[in-house]
Amino acid sequence: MWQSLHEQVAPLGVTIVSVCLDTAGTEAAMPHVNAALSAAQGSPHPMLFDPGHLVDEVFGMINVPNAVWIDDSDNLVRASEPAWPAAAPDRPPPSAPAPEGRIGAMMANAAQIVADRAEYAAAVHDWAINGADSRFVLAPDEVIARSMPRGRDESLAAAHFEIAQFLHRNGHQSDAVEHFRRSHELHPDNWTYRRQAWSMQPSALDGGLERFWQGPTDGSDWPYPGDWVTDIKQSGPENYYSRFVP
Amino acid sequence: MLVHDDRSIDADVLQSRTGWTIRPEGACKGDTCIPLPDNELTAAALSDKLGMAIAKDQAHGVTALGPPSIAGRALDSVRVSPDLEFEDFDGNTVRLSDVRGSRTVLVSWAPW
Repeated sequence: MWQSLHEQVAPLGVTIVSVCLDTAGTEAAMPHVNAALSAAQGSPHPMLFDPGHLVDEVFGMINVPNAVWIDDSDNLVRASEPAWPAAAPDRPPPSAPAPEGRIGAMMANAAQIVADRAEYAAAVHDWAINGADSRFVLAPDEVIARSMPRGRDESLAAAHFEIAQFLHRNGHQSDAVEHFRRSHELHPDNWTYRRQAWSMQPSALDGGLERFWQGPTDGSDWPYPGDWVTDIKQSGPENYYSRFVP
Repeated sequence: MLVHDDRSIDADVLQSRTGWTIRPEGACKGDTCIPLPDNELTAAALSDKLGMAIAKDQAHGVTALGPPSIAGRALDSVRVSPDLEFEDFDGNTVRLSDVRGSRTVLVSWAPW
């Protein structure tokens, strides 16, 4: 879908650059990358891979998808925020009964998440057409003010997250967990930290929607106090993404 | 930012991760320079002066510095810095400046 938006706005001077965050490597991302390449009508947009989570650290991204806007003078004109390539497509009526159990709970949660898809996509189009005169281009002070709060705790969370990634990549998965947990405690608003860590737990579930399950499974040793379904319920699915502010 | 020797931080790594450069005046970014004690580039100095928190794993001998927090926000400037390095999906190293257009929407995503 980002490829489609890229094809719409590239002729007007806006480039979409997508960056995949995954400590575990490119394997899980490749089907999505290949799908984008297959669907490309024109030149594929730049698709990059960031296993070290540098982009979210530098720009203060705490969930995915999040995006920043960079103008032609190398300045940020919008801080990190939830980002969408298009309005949600109309969904056809389900042809099968909704799944039960954990997958049903996951889908029910996901269905309640609020995302300002149409508003964000329209803003990108407006910037493509109007450039610096777009009402969505923000003054520098506003860009900085809208960026993620970062104090000592958030900095320490990032340090623990980096150690956790290092340990995981070097075969010390169980030792990595303690640092992932510490990052979650220190920066509870950071869904990227939580979901990345949860995604690297061995799971008995596979295929279809099951691959998105991030939580305990029967007989598994789940080392985290939270999981996606539980944490979403606690924080409220309507709070999972911040609302788009023009 | 992983640190191999917390008594001697690599200035190039600091710059590539945070955009802060080391000059005779101290740690500098844009028009801001912050003197470092005894001009030493140590983890303790960066923690104290730039708010880069220190985490350690004693068992594995690993130390990491978190990003600067003195601005109180993720951004201390709208200037895009540092010029981040990524990989493309063919394994090539790519700088953000290599692929950016005149205007760019830089979006993060994940398969999880």
